[in-house]
Amino acid sequence: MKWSKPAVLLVGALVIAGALAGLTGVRTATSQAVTLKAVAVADKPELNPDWATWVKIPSVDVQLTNQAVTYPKGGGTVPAVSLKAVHHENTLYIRASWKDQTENVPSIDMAAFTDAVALEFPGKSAVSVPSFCMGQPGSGVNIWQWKADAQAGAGSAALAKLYPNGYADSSGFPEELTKAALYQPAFGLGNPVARTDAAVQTLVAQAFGTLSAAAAQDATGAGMWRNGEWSVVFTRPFSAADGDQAEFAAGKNTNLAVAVWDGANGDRAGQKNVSQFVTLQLSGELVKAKSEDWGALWFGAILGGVLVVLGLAALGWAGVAGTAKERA
Amino acid sequence: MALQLTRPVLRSQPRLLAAAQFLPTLMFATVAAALVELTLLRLLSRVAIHIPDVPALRGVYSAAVQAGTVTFPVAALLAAALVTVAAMAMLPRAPILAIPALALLGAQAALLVAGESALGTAAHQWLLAVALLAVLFYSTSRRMALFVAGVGVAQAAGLAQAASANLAAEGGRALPLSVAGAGESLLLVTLLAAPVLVGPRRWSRRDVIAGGVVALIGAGMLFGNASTARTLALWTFGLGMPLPALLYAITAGAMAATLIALLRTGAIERAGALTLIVLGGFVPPNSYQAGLLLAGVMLLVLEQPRGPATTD
Repeated sequence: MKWSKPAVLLVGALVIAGALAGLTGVRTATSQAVTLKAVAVADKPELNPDWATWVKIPSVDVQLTNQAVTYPKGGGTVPAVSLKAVHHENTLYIRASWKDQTENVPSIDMAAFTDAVALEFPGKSAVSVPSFCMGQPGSGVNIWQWKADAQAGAGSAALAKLYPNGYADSSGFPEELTKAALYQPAFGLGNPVARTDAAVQTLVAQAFGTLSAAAAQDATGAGMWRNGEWSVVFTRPFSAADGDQAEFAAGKNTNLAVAVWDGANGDRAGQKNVSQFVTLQLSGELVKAKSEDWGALWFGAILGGVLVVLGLAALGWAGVAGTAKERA
Repeated sequence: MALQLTRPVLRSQPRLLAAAQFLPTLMFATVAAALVELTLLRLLSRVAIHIPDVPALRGVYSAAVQAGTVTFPVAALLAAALVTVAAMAMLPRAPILAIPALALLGAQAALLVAGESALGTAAHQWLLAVALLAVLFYSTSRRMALFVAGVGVAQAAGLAQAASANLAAEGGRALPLSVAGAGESLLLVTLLAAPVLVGPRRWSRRDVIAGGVVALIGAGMLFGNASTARTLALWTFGLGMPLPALLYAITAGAMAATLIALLRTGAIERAGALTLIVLGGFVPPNSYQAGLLLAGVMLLVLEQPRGPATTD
């Protein structure tokens, strides 16, 4: 292998420039991942997966795999999740839907696990794009997790459904006492896990094992299971309540990853279906109806590609023919 | 008829021809940087959970991942430079074939400045597919043309599916994932045939044994710790693995045997080009790996002697 001095100098300059880019966070490559485009809508969206305008919004399918990096590993029963996104008056709405033949809601039985879905974004204060595996120190992630059992409420109704022949031989404490913080310390202290009025938890993490509730629980959501499919809508204002959470702005891009738990498969904690980061593009343009002309566009793109390749072949062949003629 | 469908060398462009002198050094540096990045960032950082929680080990791990983070932009710049120089080396003989590669570099720069968008990413993927297919017409031997065609068509199928998924963000309809699966299957068959299509004429027993050992290790990983191995195959090389796992292990062995045989026989340029194609992965998830893939394919055809057309 012959090495020339100018080539060595060029490589040296590129190595120095690349190292400086790495140390200063200057980007030298772009992601080619799927892009989810959030368009603006004129009407205020409803926190309802059946909101009429969702039909007009293009969906993007994101592939999922089983989580195989940390224990408990597993998942793999949900191959893909379909995403749609809009924004209205500086508030982001994201709709996630996926196939699930069984509706698994209550999780108070020891052997039962709930269906759930979570969205993950880089935290506002992240200095670089975090690892989609719960981020890393200095580059944390913000997670919104919706759980079917949290939406249904895990109260006495769920207990009665699980144990229909159950019998209480004591009335326990007076009702006014059971609502007091003294008797429900987790609820009284504001532990988000003990909340029964919110289907979505806002979480932050900076690596495996650091997942915790965010200071502000400002993401909300609602889900619905019908005909073997879950559909869940998340929403949160663009502005983050603290630096650990994600920040959004029209005209700017960020990243988004998805996790889905299939209760029927025993999914919980790390046992889940995960995606890598996709690009979330917050477009300033207003929603328009789906185009029906994409078939023609695809035909044109493929035909154009074929013509380009054939044109290259013809030009190249002409060159070879010209050379042969000159030789003759 | 061989696929030498290119223009003769233009003697009036000595500066462009001089670009070829940069290729060996740039290729070696790019392969080295990409291998370091692959080991530290794409592999080590993803299996960190398996490292015992010993402070000394954690310190080494953090330092290694930090080094990988710095190596990534180095490798990305080297890959872009390698594509540029390879396109310039191609210009005198086949200016039309080099244009898609140069256009791809322009698209990468535009995406870096303007930020990713659904349409921009789809356009980049379309350009990469065209650039890969265009290189096919630079091939001088039938076997090489078959290999480059296999890689190009397979990647083009996967890229078309990925581009359609991005266009879906604009209201289009995504092509089914089976299109990408078909592309991956074709790529696997092509790589499996690498020993015949791009390997050396003379093989030694050691090459075959080394390939067999790699295939056994691959099979052990895929059957012993299938979930981790499959996840790494998907995240690192873009392989969804629709075919039996054993086929992937055998393909890894075939590629390893080919690379070792090429290095043993002194065909370093061809070995480097094949390594870049492997490191680029199937349907590159970022512009850096797209550069590795395209550079590998371009170097593969540039490495051939430019004499009269041969048919092997």
